[in-house]
Amino acid sequence: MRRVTPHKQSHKLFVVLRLFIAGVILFLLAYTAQFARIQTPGLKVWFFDIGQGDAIFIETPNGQQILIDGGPGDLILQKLSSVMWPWDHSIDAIVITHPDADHITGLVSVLERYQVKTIYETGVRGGTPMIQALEQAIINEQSQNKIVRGGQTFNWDGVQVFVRWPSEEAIQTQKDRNNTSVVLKLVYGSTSILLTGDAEETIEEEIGFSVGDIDVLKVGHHGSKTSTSVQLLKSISPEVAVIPVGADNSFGHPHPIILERLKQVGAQIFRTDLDGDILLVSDSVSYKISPAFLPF
Amino acid sequence: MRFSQIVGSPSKTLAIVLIAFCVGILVASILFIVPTSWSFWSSWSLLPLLPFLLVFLFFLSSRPSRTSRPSGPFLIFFLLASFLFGIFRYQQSEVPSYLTTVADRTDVSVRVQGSVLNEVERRIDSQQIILSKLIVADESVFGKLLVRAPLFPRVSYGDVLTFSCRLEKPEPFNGFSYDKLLASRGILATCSFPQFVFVSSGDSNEFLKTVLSFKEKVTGRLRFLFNEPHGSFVSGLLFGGSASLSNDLRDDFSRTGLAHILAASGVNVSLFSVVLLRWLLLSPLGRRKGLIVAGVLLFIYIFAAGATPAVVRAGIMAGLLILQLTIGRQARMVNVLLLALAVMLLFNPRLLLDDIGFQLSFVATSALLFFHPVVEKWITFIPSALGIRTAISSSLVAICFTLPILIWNFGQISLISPLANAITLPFVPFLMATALIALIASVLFLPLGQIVALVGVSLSYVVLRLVTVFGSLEFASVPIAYSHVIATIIAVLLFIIVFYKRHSFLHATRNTS
Repeated sequence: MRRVTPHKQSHKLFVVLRLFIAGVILFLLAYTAQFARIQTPGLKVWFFDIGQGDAIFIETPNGQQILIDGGPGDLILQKLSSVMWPWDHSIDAIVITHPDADHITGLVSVLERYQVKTIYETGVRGGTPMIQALEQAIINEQSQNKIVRGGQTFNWDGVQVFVRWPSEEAIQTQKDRNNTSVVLKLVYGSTSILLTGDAEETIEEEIGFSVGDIDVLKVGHHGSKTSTSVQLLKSISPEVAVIPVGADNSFGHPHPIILERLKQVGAQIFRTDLDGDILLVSDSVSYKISPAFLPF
Repeated sequence: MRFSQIVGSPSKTLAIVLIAFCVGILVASILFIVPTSWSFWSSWSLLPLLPFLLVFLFFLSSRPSRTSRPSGPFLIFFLLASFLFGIFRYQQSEVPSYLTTVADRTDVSVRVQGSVLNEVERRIDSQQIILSKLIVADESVFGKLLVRAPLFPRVSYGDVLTFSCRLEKPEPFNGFSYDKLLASRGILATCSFPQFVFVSSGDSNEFLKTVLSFKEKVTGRLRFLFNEPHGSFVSGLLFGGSASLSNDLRDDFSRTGLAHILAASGVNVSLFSVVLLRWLLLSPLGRRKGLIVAGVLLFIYIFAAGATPAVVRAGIMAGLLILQLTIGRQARMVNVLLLALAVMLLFNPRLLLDDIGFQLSFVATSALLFFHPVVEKWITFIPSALGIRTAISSSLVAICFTLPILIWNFGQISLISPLANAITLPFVPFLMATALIALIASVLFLPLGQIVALVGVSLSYVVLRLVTVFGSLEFASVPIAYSHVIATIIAVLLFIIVFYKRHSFLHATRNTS
């Protein structure tokens, strides 16, 4: 055994101290930005940049977490962990607008990794392997399931939720799953947001006039020209339009006609393919929306 | 060294015979020495070697002593036999031309059936599946098929898949011989996004199934402790293949020349072993018990990681590092290393030139074995606490010696690569250690594991952020002309340094006090 001289010992202590400081700095580096993101007061709505698909994360003023659709793959997990604490393994609610792969694929992993209290869905099913996997994941989750229909209202911790679509009739008759999409109007104080899923023009005609004035529109079907009719835009006159769309997608979304229409009603446009992740923060009086940096 | 010296020393004889075998494989793989028309009698070409092998066995069984040592001519026979055996072994790995292979059924849409050969790689938006026992259009064909399928239906080891797909022949891209890499694993065709996939269960190896389900549990626990992308990154570091990282992150890793730590190459496992060994030897366990603990941990690791060929290779490499400390003499390590190389090549002779993961792992481990002890003494100004110095010096050694391979294969030099490697690699062993501690702690007491994991997440965050920041730099990656020439020059320079410094390297022993 080597004898440790007092000098050596103090040197060792010094090294340990330095390592401890390094550890603290590491921790701060990793979590400061996250702390700021999570602790922002008010209603937060994240439009995640998860490629060609939809994934919208809502955190209410008192910290209830709601995820609307999960995007086309597991990227949603990275996004969630950038806006949630590492030890947080629960989500209050998931909304499944309609069971197409670009909206639900990520949800299977979310259901596997997180405890989900409530699942809002339309009950629409289909024969794809994707839908079967989701169905199995929902069964395994054993959460509270709510079937959503137009006309229902919910209150998520002070955020009023008006369900505008689908109607029972649409569920029975619509062949196109896009047109069974859940359409939600969120109202928090004087901020109103319309989330349209992939609903197309015919649906917009039916619901357009009942929606009223809207501040922020989540543009339907990734900016495809089958959605976002002139009539809808005229009746809701959005100030801001958010288009969740994948860079270089093979569908040519968003369609230039839609971009032009949005410009004509004076809406400021945010696109996830160009702007990345987009964050809306509302204190119930006013709202702010801007691209927000997420590290991964 | 004179010939009589080699003849006189059994260990040198063994070394040179092993080298002859490896050179045989090398020559065969470079020259493609056997024309395919030979394949008819290829299975007979072992016959002339038989007498040599018998003599060789005789030589092995008789204990070499001063009176009855083999004479020079005998040794030449052995060398020749060994060399020819190397050529033969390589040639044997060729697909005989009279077989119908899956590569003969490409470019048309066909009905394919095959069983899942091993672990399925789950990526962020797809599954990578390797199928064997292929039946294409109702005809049984030779070779394996790499399938890129949608995330659902989920497929796992042992399943039988039936689908229709337009098969393709793998092509090299950006000068990287992707086709040869796949061929070295027996994969002769690929299929992207098959249609009408039907999954049924088939027979499987129960042992492998148990190992894989154990691995799944371990990675599942890791993913619970570490949120994404850290869970994927850490489980990739520990068990190879960070397949489930996002494509953007993977791009950043290759732009910064750090892709090798994701490639299940074993470089990270070797780096980790060096640091872990240093800790264990300095721990109260003492040298003997420390080495035993390291050996046991390594054994558990190989099974926890699914015992895939890449993991077993990484395990062998790490085992060499443990062995070095047990044997202590560097000169004997040369033999052990050569033996490991020869055995791995005997199993798959195509590794030598076609599998970059094998090359990186082998070169990094050899460099760590022989040059790390010396380099560690050069950088005494770095604090040795917690093995930081070991982490930095071992990373430096690995970076220098793998550089020519990376440049040769990827034809681009990542200008930021040396810096990115030097800054991030030393974190890697600590990250792996934290993850392991968190795993074990979580089994004992879950919240404790979660707290340890927070440290791991911080480390992983820093590494991944560094990688994304470095990767976002415009000049991060520059394609270079004459990449092969530059790679060769660097390799030659390294060789010259090693040659002139060989005495100090060979006589360096680890300072374990």
